[in-house]
Amino acid sequence: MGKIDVRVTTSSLEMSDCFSLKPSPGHGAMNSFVGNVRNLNLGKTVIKMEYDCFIPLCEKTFFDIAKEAQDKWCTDANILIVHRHGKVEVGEASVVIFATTGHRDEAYRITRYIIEEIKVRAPIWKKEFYENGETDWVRGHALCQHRKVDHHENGRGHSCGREILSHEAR
Amino acid sequence: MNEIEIRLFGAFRKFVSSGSIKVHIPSQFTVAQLKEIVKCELQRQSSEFTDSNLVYESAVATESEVLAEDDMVKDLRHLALLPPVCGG
Repeated sequence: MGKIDVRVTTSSLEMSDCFSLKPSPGHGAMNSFVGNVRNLNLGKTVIKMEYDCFIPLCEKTFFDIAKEAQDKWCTDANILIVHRHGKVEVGEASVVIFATTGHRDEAYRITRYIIEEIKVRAPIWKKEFYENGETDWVRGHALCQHRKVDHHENGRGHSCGREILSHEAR
Repeated sequence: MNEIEIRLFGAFRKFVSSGSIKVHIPSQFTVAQLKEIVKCELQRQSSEFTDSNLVYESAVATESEVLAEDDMVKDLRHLALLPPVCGG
């Protein structure tokens, strides 16, 4: 099996740290996804974001998602997931995902799968700070309590398929 | 009666500054029943808490798994109430 490294951190995400994920000798591809805090959501000007995490379950969820991705596409993929906790300024990275694999197709699929699953499964919340001084917690996707029963029964993936409650532009 | 500490996250934080509440429940109690108790405790602690649906849309979890609504809350002293999530 490939290596899986997952973390939640209050530190800035430096790309150089992320390149600590070394590809195995047989890996010809490395793909990354970086999510940044943007300055606009649903017409409101955002000046910063504060992330709240239930860290133990969050890191376990990251690991589970990474393992699922390995099982689906490339068991020897090396995967890194790092997510910010606490205040993050506009333009800063909130999440980075790296995957190294034998070929590029698996690397693309793995990083895409991981970010989509994080958005609906990881216990993370964000509070937006607006230009006018107001703040609001972004409402998101209700966690599926029955995931442990049904998430392998559906060949389309692991998300529970509940309606997205979010007012966030995803 | 068992005392359970419930950690609160996201939108719940604005109602309880300490970040957690304590509730007392019988030894045989489901997650769904626990959520009713938690909803009442939030209403008791904060007059600003009026959105009961936020509790119903939330999941209850340990540090290692999300519990199902009909799971029994037994021998658990620390749980978390997780509102709808939005990572990334």
